[in-house]
Amino acid sequence: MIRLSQVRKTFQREGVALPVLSIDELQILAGERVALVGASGSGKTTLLNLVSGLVLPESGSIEIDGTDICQLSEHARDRFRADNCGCMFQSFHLLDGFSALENIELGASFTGRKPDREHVLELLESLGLSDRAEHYPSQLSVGQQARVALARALVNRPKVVLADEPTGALDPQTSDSIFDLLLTTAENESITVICATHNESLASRLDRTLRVEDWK
Amino acid sequence: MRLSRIVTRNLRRRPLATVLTSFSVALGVALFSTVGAVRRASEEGFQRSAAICDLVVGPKGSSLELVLNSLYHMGQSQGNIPFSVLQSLNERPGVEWTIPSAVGDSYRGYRVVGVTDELFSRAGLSVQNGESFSFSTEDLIRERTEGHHDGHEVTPAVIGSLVAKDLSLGAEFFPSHNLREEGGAEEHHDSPTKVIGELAATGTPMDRAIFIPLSDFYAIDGHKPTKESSAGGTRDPLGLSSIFLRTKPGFHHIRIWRDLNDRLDTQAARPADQVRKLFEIIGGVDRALRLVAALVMAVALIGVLVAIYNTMGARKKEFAILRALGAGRQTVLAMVVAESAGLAAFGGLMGLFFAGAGTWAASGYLQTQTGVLVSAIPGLSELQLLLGVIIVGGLAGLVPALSAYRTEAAKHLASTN
Repeated sequence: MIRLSQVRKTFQREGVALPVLSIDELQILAGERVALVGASGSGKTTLLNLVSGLVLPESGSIEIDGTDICQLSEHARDRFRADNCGCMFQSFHLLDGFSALENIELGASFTGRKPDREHVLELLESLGLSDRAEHYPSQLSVGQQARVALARALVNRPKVVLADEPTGALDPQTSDSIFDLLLTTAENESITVICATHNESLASRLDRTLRVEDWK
Repeated sequence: MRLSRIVTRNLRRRPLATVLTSFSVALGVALFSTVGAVRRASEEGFQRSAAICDLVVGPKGSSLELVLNSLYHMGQSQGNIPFSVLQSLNERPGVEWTIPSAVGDSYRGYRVVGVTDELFSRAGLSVQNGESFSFSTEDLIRERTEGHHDGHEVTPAVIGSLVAKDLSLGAEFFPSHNLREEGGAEEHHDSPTKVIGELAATGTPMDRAIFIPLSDFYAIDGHKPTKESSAGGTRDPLGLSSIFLRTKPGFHHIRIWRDLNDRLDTQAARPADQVRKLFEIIGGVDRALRLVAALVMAVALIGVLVAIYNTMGARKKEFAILRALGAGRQTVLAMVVAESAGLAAFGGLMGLFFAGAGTWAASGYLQTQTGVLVSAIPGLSELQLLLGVIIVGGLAGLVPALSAYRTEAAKHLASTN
């Protein structure tokens, strides 16, 4: 379960503190699939970064399965993120000089666990990428890139997948298929999904929709 | 995926920059390593020859020139010392042994040196092919006392390993009466000389000398006494160019050295001291070359820093992605430091390869000119140099690495491609 209590986050802009998020209480159940909706700049990405531990709130606590990540050292938080969170981005953020297989393996490089090549190959097969394993991102279609990014987010068998507009760069058909893959895998493996999106139709396919504007 | 693989991948992503940056490091390392290797090999080769004896006795003049001429077969002979010096030294209680030598002839640039057979055992020269000649210092003194020189009909010669490139076992030749490199002029047609033995290589100037018995040297027509020369002195053809001398342990060395230098017609030089002096003289050039090489290396390593630093702006997103995947700041820092050290290591290895190839290519020429064998195989000092370059390369990478370390992942992930 993910639990945010009394979380306050502000950004400094030209010396002025701008409140971004103010969440008194938010709970997301294990295996729950949640959509974050709101206008650009409303704080969706900031919430994802807070949950992943990439940024810290000024106050409050963020618990993932009972661990308050705000109390961890930065090093421990990095390791916690590597072990428990899978991240997916709008522009996929694949590394150019690495093949599809290597990009996926990168996702498993910082956990401290032994690399599980068999699991990576299974992922590639389940996502229809077996014949693209050695291809570089520039040699892949946008849809294939999205699937590699999804595989990278899932490779560590994370407790939570944090997806920031994961289908924002895709056409509706490809977008649906990627989203299907994400939801199916999440359901099969009881993974919690927090997905920031502008797409109300995609949001409606998730268990719950949270409006970020409510936390101003 | 291991960090080392990520680093290798990152370096391979920018092949041109990687190769060019490493190449500049390679140039510095190659220059530094070659200068050092040649210097070390030369000094070792010269010191090896210098260790043959404690003193070189010769006519008054430059001590360095005497040592260079008699032990290293370089430069011109300063003249002769009276034969009686050998006799008196052999009668001195503090003298362990003496080896007389006479120079003045050559063949195709190789010195023909009249010696007694003790040289081979004293100098650790072993005959690899054929045999040695037999003519001792005792034989020489007896011949001189009896007033004759029993040269062979065909002079037997034992050649150094480098001479074997031009003369084979059994070959006959006529030495020329000069020490000039080009040889040729004034051949001694009265003294056919035959190669009867070939010495094993020593990596010293001994490898490019032709040794004949002193009795045969004196029997050569041009070396016989004339009316003018029979007065003795430095032009006495029956004198000796030098005497290699080993003293007995204790105070004898200093006394003999002083006595010989007190005489009006002789000097005694310590070869080890002269070699040291020689390398002090050329040490300035050596240091200048090494300084230039060190500067080239320093500039190259700054180049590594600049090359990596220039990519930092474009790589912020890459670091942010790695951070999002769970990489710690220290991991990102280590990755950039490892890239920098990797570039330096690649350049260093390439430099050692260039140095080895260059040394190998030049070793033949150096050996022909000086007799000194320069090894193309990297030694401990080259490996220490490589290690130093890798460490400095890694340290140079700290500057861009700190920039990577400070990357705020959230900020750079937010921006789109």
